[in-house]
Amino acid sequence: MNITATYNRKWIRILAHIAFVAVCYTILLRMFAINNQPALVDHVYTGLFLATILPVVYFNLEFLIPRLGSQQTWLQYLVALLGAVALFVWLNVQLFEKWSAKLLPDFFFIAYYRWWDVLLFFIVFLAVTTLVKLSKSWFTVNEMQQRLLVMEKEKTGMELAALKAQVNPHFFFNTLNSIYSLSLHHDERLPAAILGLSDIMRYYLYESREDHVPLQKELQILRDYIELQRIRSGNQLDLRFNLAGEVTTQRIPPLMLVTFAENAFKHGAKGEAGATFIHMDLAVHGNDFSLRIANNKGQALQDPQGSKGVGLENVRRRLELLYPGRHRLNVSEDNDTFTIELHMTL
Amino acid sequence: MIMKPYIWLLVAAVSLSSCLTSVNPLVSHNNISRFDACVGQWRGEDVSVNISRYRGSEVDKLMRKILEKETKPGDTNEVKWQDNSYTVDFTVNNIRHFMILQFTAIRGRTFAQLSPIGAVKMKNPRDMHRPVYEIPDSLYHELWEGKKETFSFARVESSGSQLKLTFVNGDYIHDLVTKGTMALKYESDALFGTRYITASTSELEAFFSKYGGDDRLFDKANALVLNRVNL
Repeated sequence: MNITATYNRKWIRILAHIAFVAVCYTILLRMFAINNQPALVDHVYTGLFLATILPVVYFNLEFLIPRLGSQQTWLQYLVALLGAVALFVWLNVQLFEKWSAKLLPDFFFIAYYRWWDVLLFFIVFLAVTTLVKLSKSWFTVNEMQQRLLVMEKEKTGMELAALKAQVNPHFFFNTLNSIYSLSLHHDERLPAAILGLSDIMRYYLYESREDHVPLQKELQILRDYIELQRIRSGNQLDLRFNLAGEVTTQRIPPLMLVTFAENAFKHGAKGEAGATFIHMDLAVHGNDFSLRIANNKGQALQDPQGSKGVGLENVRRRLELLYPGRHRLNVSEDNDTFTIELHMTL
Repeated sequence: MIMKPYIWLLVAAVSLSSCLTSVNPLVSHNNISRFDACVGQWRGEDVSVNISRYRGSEVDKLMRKILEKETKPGDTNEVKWQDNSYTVDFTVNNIRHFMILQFTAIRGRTFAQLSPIGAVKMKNPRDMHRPVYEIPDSLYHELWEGKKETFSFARVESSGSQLKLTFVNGDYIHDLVTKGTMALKYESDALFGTRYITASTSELEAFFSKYGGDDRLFDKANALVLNRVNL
């Protein structure tokens, strides 16, 4: 298939060049013909004239321009081109003023153009063909850029899929740890916790495959997750959840908010009684979405297992890929508090 | 005015057999050259020819009379043209023909340019010895008015006693143009059987520069050979 396509392209290219030469020949013949009906000598004249121009044109198109920038500088290009033009203008003048009388003794014609006129013909031919060549190159580069864009998009999609695949086990690992903790104490809230986890799992398995989900759905899962964590942490946690604005048809990448909440619960819900808190403030105004989560700095921040911050880094990377230039994520901390602020245009 | 075609055809038939005329000159102010070796009385096969310097000639005096103006001193081109031009006159069948003769050198060869300017019918024998501008009822005046100049070209070979003018071969050029193997601006008139080269002066110069040595383009068989008459 590729061989056939290449073969066809080659023939199209040859036909295009034949058409170009034919058009040039026709135009020049009309210019050079002594009478309205071109005579045999006019064809000879035109053929010889074109034969002195085309070598320079193709030398420029096929040899000089392709090497411009990579193997030669502009100065080298101009020197080579001017040299070729000077040589072939001289050949043209000599051919029509002297040599043709011996080369073609049965045809009588003179040089109707002085060397500066011939030079003008060369300039016009070179200018037109160079512009055509450059415009063709522009289209080729544009096509390549489009291909690169598609490839980049595919690469981004693959990277996002990989990041989501990293989020899921991380979240379930933490949640199952919480449920395990409840089961050890035969906590009566265990069935509700398992039910909540079931809802979250359904969301993970069936709905989080999309690039974006309704914000309403993501908030519902966030609430389920908070309830799950509230069961686990009991009444000693100062947990606040505020939502301002109106949620309508906005969409958001799945598991984005849950990941922030998971990070807060993992690190903030541990510490001295009465000193643990998680404050979550969300605001939705049209397509402007903001989130602020503040939590106390707990023991997990010093977790030596190296798993800390994996979810947060994943979210940061997903935001860079999905909202380039349309989001701002600030992570700050002081002695007691760890704060995440996110602003994004949905 | 009715006489014009008759006169032109007669001149061509008598003096320039099968030659080709041009509507533009080969010799211009830029390339005109002096060739005093042509001045004098000459005898051809059937005709006597007198060639003299243009300045002070009968034609010069007649032109001044007709045009009613003198050459301006500052007109260097006109002065150069007159200084390097010659007049030719010859008589056939009691008609005295006048021509301007000029020369140019191209790539080492000398070419002559002949331009008929008029003819005068000699009504009685004594007219032959009178200046043309004194002859009553001269046709000259009538011919000059509205006259369209044409030019004939010949390659020149000269020795002290002989002047050979080999004219461009009109028949051969006509054949080449008809066959389509010559790119020279050219027109023919089937009604009058006339043929004209319409190429410009610079194109003619380029043509003779390139093909001036090609014997095929010159009618050597009918060359006009003039022998100097020693008076």
